[in-house]
Amino acid sequence: MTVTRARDGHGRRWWGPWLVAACALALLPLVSSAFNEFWDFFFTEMAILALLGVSFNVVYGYGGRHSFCQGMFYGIGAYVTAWLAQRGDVHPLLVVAAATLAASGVAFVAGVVFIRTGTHNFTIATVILGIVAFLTGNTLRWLTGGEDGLNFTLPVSHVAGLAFPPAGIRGKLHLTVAILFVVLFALAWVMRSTAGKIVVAIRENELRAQYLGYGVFAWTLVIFTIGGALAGLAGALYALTVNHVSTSVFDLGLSINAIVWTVVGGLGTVLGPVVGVALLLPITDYLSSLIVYSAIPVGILLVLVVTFAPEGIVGRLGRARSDVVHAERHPTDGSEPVIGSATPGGVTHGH
Amino acid sequence: MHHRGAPIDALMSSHVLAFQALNGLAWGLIFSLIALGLNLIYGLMGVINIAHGSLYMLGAVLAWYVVRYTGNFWLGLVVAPLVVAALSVVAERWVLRPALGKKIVQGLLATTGLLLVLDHGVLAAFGGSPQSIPSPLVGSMHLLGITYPLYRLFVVVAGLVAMLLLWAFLYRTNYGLWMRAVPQNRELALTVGIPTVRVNRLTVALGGYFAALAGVLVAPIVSVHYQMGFSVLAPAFIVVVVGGLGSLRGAILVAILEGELRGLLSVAFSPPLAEILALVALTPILIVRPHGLFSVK
Repeated sequence: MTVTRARDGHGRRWWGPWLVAACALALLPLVSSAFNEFWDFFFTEMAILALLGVSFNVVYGYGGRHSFCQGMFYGIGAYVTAWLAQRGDVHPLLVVAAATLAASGVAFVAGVVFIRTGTHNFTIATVILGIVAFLTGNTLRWLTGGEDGLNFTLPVSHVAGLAFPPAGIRGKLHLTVAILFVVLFALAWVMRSTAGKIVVAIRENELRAQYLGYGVFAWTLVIFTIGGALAGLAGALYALTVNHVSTSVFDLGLSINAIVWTVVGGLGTVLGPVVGVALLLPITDYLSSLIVYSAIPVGILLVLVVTFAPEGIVGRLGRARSDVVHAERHPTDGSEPVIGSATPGGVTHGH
Repeated sequence: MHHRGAPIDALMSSHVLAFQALNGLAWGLIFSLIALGLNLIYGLMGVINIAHGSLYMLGAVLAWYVVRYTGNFWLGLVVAPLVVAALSVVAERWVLRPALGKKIVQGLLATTGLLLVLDHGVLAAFGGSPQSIPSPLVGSMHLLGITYPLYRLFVVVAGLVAMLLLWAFLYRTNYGLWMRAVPQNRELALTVGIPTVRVNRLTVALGGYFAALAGVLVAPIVSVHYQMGFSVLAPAFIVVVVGGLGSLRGAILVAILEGELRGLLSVAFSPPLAEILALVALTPILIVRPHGLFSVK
């Protein structure tokens, strides 16, 4: 029984590729020794933003509730880190935990109020929340420091012989990549479990899942809270990397970017947000070095992707592969690409 | 102003209240013009237009250009909404129509892309620093025991007239009848010969027209900048959600309520804080009525 559970339908261990990836990741310090500070910072930023993308992917790609306020949770995580670091007497691990908890707490309360309003109203509510966070951040300047922001340094402490937060940008790169990897692996693992299947069932048909006896409200609340926690964790990592937070973290553009990366990479696929960030961040960084208004091509890209390739890159690759495998069993599989219902398959499912 | 004393204070505060109540009415009418467009487009096409605030912003920015080059605000009031309506027709064809009949998120993301293009296009052309338009009507009027700026009074009257015209269009013309009929059964509407594509186009153009009209109307009162759409998108959205998504009656009533809340809260709090509190104040209604006060479903 345990053997068949560990293998998927095609007789391969599903975590095989993850083991390979973990081994490859263990070599990261060797690779990163070739980086200069620019690349260290670039890849750290990429990993942090990928984590933000994952938080959106959890809420929408898996949970089926579209959120425009992941940037708000990211900002809360960053600011709680800044405020506690300024106190100077809180253990850094506790700071990161508190930042993550604070963001998930706000997500929980928002979820309690807005989830029952229905999927469409919920989405609108997240837009309102995002704008309220933006306005509040710029109004309560004594608390947030406004556009100038807050400077701080997190006291370093040693956890199991390792410095936390790690000294230097190289150490922070290793930390964020490791956290991103653990989160992705946990996500892949949870989505294979019964809980993951229930979440997908709710995404696919909320009403039917309810008729089958699943607590749609409770499951959605859990998903939204986890999404808030992941975005808050990303915000905390950002804060302890740059030691500076300003109200620009509440810019709605950040939430929109998290959406763009995930949609381009592939909604509801474990690696989608990572692929999206890895592809788009260099392009937008390069574009914004050429022209100031790099959001214009991003907007055009978003319109084109949702119109012509709504299942994203990872979803499209996965569909191409699973079409071949399932062609006879499910002749209709993947014939109608729809956002939010990416066909099973792809990198993580190992078909 | 120079005397302090209990009776004077009471008189003062009643004046402040009346002033802010009128301000609240003006903003309420502005919000309802925007929320009505959102609800018409949602009701007809099933698309939540995230870029609706940007159309409002575009109206104000175009009016600023007209004032700058011709010096005539009233020309801007006529021209800017028409230009935005024409742009909305283009957006309908390339952004909204592909999302018709798809999952709600497709329209949501496509109009998010439109928002990025519009906001940052304006940032590129217009610049990031806020601009202002001088008030086209100077002077004030005695009303309800207070002196109220003439132009703000004009905003109230113009807002009411615009709503009446929209109502007459919806309930007294064929297109209006079709706009209300098509959402009930798109295929049946097509079968009986209603030009549904033209109805969609007209609805989006009308939504864009009224959003831009609202933008032009407030342009002499607020500062004109490329992100001003956000400050109206949030109240318009809370109005739409609390009023009931798709409900025209709910949009008007809750918009006035939201405007008044904002006006009266700014008696006690700073305007930006009043703006935030007014947004939060209506959310408890959703705990009691999750689908809004006048839900159509």
